[in-house]
Amino acid sequence: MAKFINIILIVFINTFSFASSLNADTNILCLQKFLKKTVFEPGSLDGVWGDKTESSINSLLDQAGMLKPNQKISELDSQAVCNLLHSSKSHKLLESGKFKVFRIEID
Amino acid sequence: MLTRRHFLSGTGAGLFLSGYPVHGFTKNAIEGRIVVVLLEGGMDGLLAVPPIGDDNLFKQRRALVASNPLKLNPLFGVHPNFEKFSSMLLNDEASIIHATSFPYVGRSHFEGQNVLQGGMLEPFSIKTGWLGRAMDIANIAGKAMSLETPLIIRGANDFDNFYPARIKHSRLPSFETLRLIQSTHASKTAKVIEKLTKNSMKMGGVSQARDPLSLAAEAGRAMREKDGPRVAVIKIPQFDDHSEIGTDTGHHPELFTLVDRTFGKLKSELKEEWNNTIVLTMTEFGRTVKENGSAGTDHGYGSVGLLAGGLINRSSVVANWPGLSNKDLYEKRDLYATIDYRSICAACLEAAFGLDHDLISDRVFLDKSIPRTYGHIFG
Amino acid sequence: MFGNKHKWARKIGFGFGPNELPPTDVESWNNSQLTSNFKSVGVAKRSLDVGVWPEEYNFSFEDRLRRAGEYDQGKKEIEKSKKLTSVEKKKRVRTLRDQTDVALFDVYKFWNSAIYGDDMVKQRLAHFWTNHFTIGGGGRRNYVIGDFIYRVIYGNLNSSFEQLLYKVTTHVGMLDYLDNADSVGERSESAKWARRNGKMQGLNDNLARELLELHSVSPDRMYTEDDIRNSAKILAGWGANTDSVIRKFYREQRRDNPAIGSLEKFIYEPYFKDRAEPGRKIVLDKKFHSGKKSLRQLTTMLANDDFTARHLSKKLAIHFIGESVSESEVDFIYNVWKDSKGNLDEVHKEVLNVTARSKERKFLWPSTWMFQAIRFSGSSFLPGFKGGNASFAKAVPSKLNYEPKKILEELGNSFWESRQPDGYSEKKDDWVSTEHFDRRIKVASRIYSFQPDRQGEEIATLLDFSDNTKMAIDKTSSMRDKFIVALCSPDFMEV
Repeated sequence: MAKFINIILIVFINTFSFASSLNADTNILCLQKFLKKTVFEPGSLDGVWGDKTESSINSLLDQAGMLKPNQKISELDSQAVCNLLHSSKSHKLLESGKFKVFRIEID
Repeated sequence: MLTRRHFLSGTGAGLFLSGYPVHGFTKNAIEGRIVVVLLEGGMDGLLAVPPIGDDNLFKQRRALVASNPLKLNPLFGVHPNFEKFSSMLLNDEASIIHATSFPYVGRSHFEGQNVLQGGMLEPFSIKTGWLGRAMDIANIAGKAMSLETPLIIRGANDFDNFYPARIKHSRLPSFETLRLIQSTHASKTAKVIEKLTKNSMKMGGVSQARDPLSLAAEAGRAMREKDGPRVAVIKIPQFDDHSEIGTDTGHHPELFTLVDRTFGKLKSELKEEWNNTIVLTMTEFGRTVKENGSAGTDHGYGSVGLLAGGLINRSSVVANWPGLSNKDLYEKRDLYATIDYRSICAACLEAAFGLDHDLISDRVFLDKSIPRTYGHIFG
Repeated sequence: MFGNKHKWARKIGFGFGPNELPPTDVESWNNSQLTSNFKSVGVAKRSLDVGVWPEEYNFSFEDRLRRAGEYDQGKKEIEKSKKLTSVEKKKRVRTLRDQTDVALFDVYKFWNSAIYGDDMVKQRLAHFWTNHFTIGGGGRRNYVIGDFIYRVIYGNLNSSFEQLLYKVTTHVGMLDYLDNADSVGERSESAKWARRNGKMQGLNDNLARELLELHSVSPDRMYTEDDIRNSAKILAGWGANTDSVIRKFYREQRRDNPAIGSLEKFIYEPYFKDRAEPGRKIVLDKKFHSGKKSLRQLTTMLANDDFTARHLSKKLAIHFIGESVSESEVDFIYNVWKDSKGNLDEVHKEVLNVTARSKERKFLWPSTWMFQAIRFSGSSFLPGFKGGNASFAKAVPSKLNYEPKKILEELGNSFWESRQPDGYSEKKDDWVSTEHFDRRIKVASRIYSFQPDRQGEEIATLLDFSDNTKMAIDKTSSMRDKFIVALCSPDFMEV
């Protein structure tokens, strides 16, 4: 009986973490779909947090003036960012994302 | 011609809600100034702002890359002749737009200049200019630094020309005689002669030179005055270098120096009003990526726009870089234009005149689809 | 009907100077002005008698094209040189220009004809048509502007509009100016070759567009973009740049192209078969087959179109009568145009008739105003064509006085300057600005410096100035200033 409960527990825990990772994918996909509408290429729309997704979302937010200095967005922030992308700031982000701004980096 | 009266009857209260001042109705006079520098002939954007971080630059036009560009960031450099402009870039009072053009691919000087100045996609389809229409809406005075009134400023209600005459051994007669000439004419013409008479009183301090630098100096001086013009248009011709375009030195680089000095002159003459100013260059098209058989380049598509002035928030290069490999070129020969320069003009109008972007795209460019780039330059 | 003869001569010509006797029979003077043959004249030195214009300053079309080519090739050679300094290069280019240039002589001829020529009405008509068929000058095209004005425009004033339109459209200057030299049929041999070699060549619509819009039927005809495109296909293959047309002829010849013919004929109809677009084209519902002849067929069709008659009748009326010309005034000219099938003698005659009946005043182009001011006052402003110590045969542009060319530029009314295809404006508003008035006043002052026989008051009397203007002249103190007030009054600026 205990063995049976253990199995159920394991399945339950796995299902739970599987569900969490399902949510994480949706958020990342949300970011990637938005990025696709801008000049910051997210790579493939696979819901996976890769280098391209990371650099693109950071570039977009930085360019739109929504990052604090030295702030960097990571995978953990994807839900919060997804909410931001669909907030009232959405229009401003889309507008900013249409063109790439290269800063002057002369010392 | 779209007059303010027409606009008022169309939108009524909208005028006030959009926030721009209407002459006589609010206390806010328009403080911003715009100077358009027309580069006639087609400026070679790749020579002016070489994308040094793009390997294909050297593959496609090795002989036409300056040996000592100032490196702005990993992708872009700027030709060393742009000395003053480079200081402005360092001071957050300049920006560069690359791979840009009006959506015109015909490569004809006439059509190109007409599109650039008229602001319509179809050449010869309108008798007024985008700047003139904007000036009319905002009720602003301007000055064309040329004898003829260029298309770009037509449609404005209030503009004047400045281009000193070169007629040897002749000067204007006395104030009394000018008044007498005025008295023979009917009201509209008489007003013009009256203005001439007033100007002639000031003539003493004004240089009679008419090279672009002197004209820029005069433009700056005039725009600094409280009730002076808020718009000036200056032409710099001869960019059409089909042969011997130059690299470190040569014809095109000499023109870069002239453009650079023009920016410098405007800044020094505008003095404190430089903070309220935006200067932008315009050229009808860029030039071919590859060199032609005569060490020059032919008419192309995408080029650069150079912006300067205190209204700029942070210096940058704005570009959706299309690349320079053969497959990235327009018709296998030209730099692609991935930014519609009309949106840059619109952003400048927004920054200087406080006009709403939607209003500008609708009433000035008659095209509601123009994207907003205000935030990228002035935000 | 013609009223004050001096006013009439200004309305359609350049006015009668102090040494000219107005005719007794104005009607027959009008007719002879339109149909007689005249010799070109000029003054060798300022205030010298008027003589015949020197033959050595009449340059043939071929000569002009050669000179343009020599300048272009020579300049490239100089600029390529690694040994010469920048200063040395500029000096050599200037010398080369001196050796090849003809434009300044053409400008002198232009001035002399207007001020001293007997053919004042033809000259005015030539100015009108030259402006209607604008060829923007500057650079290489300045070698042929004089040819265009005298051989093509003036030379066809007594023929038909149909003839004129074809000659204008096939002129190297026009084909160069409106970029037809770059236009290549997409299915032409040349384009095929270009594609095989990784280059792009295609049609250029510029000339086709202006041919329909400005030169003939006008947008009122409601032609479509297809009509323009197909006209461009008919035009493809015609022309080369002014400075390379002769070189390209020889290149064609070397390719063993037997149809190319002789150089002497080719330059008048510069058609490159390998750039032409094959196949049938439809313009305004009419079919055109491929080949060189189709262009003539196209221009003939356009010349005979009703809308062309209307468009040009109106333009002629506006030029001589004024901006507020009436529909019925245009109708008179239009009817004669239709009846005579565009015979220019008939049309011009009717223009004069309608003008004579009109009470309108026309604000003159600055150049017309200036020529009238010099001619009417008898001022010796125009320098002679015999400049400095140069003899006739060895006259060199740099030895001549450049002021005639410069003043036309200062007035913003030169035919040797670059400008838009729609030409100089007929609207008063476009010529009234502080800078424009500044120049008029200064030019008037300059004209006075060369001893005019007629002073301000006499001018006002002969031309029936208004009391208001006469009063202003009266109040002015110096003779120079009286002259200036007279010339810069609406009574003289308009006619």
